[in-house]
Amino acid sequence: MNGAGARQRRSALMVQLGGLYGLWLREVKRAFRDRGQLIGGVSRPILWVLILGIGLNPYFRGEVYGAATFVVPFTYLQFIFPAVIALNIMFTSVQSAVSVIWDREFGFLREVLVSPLSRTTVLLGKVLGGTTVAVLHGCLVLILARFADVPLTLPDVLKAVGLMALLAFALTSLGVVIANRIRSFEGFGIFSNAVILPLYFTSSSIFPLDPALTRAQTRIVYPEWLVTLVEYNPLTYAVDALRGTLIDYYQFAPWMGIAVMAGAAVVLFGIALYDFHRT
Amino acid sequence: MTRAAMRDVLSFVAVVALLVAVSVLPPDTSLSEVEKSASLKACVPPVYPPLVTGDAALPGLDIELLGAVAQRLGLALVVNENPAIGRDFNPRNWRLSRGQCHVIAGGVVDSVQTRSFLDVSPPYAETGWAVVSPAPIADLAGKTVGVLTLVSGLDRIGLASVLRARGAVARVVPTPDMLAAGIADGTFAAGVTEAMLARKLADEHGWTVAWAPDLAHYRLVFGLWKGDVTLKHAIARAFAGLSADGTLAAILDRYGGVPVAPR
Amino acid sequence: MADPAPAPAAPAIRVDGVSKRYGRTLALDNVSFDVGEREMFALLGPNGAGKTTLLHILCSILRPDSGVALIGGVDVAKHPLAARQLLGIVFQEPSLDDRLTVKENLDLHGLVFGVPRRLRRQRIGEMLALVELADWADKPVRSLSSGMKRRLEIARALIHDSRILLLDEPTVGLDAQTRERIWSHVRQLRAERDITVLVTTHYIEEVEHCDRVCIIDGGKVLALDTPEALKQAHGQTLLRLSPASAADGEAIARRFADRLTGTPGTELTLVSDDALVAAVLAEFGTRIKTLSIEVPSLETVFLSLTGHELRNRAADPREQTRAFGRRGGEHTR
Repeated sequence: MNGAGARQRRSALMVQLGGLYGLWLREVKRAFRDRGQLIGGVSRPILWVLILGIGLNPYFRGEVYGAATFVVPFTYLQFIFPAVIALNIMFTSVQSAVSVIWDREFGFLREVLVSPLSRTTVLLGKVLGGTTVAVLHGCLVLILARFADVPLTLPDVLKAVGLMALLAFALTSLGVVIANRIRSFEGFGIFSNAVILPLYFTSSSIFPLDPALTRAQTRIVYPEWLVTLVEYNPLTYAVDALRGTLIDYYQFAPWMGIAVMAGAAVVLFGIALYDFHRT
Repeated sequence: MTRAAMRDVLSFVAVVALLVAVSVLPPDTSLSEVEKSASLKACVPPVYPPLVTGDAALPGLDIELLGAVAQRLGLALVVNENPAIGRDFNPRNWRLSRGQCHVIAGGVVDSVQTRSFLDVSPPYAETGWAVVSPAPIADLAGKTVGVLTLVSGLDRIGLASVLRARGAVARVVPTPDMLAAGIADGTFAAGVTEAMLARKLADEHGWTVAWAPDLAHYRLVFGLWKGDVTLKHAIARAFAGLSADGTLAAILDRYGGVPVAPR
Repeated sequence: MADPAPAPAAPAIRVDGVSKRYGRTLALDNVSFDVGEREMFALLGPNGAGKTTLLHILCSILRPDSGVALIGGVDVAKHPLAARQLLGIVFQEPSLDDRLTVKENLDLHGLVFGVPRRLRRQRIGEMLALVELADWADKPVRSLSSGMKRRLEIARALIHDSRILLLDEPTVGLDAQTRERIWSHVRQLRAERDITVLVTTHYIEEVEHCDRVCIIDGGKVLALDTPEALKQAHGQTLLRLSPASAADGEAIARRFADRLTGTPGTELTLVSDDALVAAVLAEFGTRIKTLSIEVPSLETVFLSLTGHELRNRAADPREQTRAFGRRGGEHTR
């Protein structure tokens, strides 16, 4: 019973692809069985869209026609809806990267590193798996679209899913890059709280910069340092692109979101690949 | 499929089902409020033909449509006339508030400016700037044009720049009567105003009407307060029913309204 | 890149002059040995002797500073992917995926090693039957005991029809009964399949039934031979006797002073051989209360070669983190 001949018949590329599929499948299966993550993926949109959205909606609606604090063509609930998608994607991507730390030291990654798969394939399997799971979690938020009064058409949804995938890919790669440099779980917790959440909240996710007014007026409404922070934050453009696709409201040029995310994805994946090949 | 995979799919389906259940919760109390009072209140200008005529026999496109919608929802229609709407372009001076009405009608168009303050119903007619004149005018250069801007939400700045680009001289008038008088006695070579009003004037005086060049068309809608999602969904359902059984088309036809062009 | 054809009758594993330095510590110092086809080879040594480092070099996780390691004739450093295809490895810590089932773990391994689907299914069935885990095929790995997990890992290492099995301390942390079961599975595997096994361990009693034992300490190979030959070469037979009276004890001690070893007390220990046993019995037979003969064992071989017992060490940071993760850490798995 010799399988060596059969193996040789399979080309090297097929072996890599088969392994890529196996690693991707593993990530997806693990995510389905991670009850904590599933619950988080559901509770986050419920809490944000349902509670925060309803709770704060009255403060942002007009009571008198013609008089409004912020002149923006949407409701607050519609405004934060794309940001909640980004939130879900962010949390999921980072969590899948945490497992790299465990896998590397004690678990599954060691077994994979002594397999015939190249390092590139292993990393790609991990990142693609994390991306798929994050996009699924992002799509969970889309289910609440009717509640948030965000009308969805098929082309919109497809475009949004594409943007989600791009964002998830970049964030998962970022997570892997950080996880490769952090040796313990506590370090990752520090990173998560000190970097990820501030990054999210300064991405114009829960308050618009209100370019309905002139630029000069924007800087008077919010302090300059905050506006600068928001403008330099790459996540801002990702959230903006999602928002533009879903509620048709862009604060920045539409192409910027795609450009920033694509660039970040390429750069971060490259760094992760370099790290992987070095270990 | 292995048992493990089945369990995975089931847990995901459970999660999705939970979210679907949540999504059908009512996000606000607007519809229940309206149903509790059994009446739908609407703010309209006293007269804005053909949307609001003041004539009991032929009350106006908007009034009839509102009536049909209210009937579908099982509510009584209460019309609040607000004279400020007809007089002033700036909606802030109309001092409309949530307490006075649930719906604003009589010339609300679906534009970015409108959506900055209000939410909108589904559109029912198309409108825009139109030129009304005794005979068709090929070129507006050097001509004096009367401009009547009553419907808020149309792009006045755009109109002004188009007129300027074409070399026309614009004169703003405050009421439809003054515009008609100006055209009749020749002060104005033509009048520019909202299309449905322009068509009305043209029909009355036997003049011609054409869409103003280079300017966008808008869709006529009802204004709803932002955040009244349940009421908006109910009105949308009513609209769908009205177009399905042809009531909408019939009302439009009666007043010469242009149905919404498919996008 | 075609697999380089191995030379005929090449040893399954060849380690030639391999050295590896970590900072100032020399983990491996010019280590050389061969492992023949179908051999059961043991690397015996305490923790920190360099066994795991050597194993990591063999499975191409680490590169040696000098020397060459060949797996099935393939240079691990130059053609790591081809070498890995021939190896099945069971690490010291379990590297199974806790959230997947037994069958999914094996399937994943098959996918990762490029085993086509039908073959994969066939082999998974075979291996599960072989290690007696067929009933647990659809249970999550989380629910298996450590012994079962170890058996699963051994089964997993063979899914891609590997010919050389590397086991790194396979029975650490298991109770005696489970250990024996693991070894019986390994013996059965050797009987049924054409595999070479290299085991690293610090449990002396387990290497008795290996074909050859290599004793390694401080990164150096101290001895390499079959267990019997080692015992004969370095082993000592010890004679432990308790004399009938103190006076008799002194008499024996004086007579065989050159053979005395250990601390003197009520019991005397003499380094012995067959001749000595006969002499002691003949001269002092009636003046001895109890007498026992310890045959050479690898314990004594190790003692005599290294001059000390197998060392123990406190938990290192990795073990601490692992324990932390075991307790539930933060999103650990």
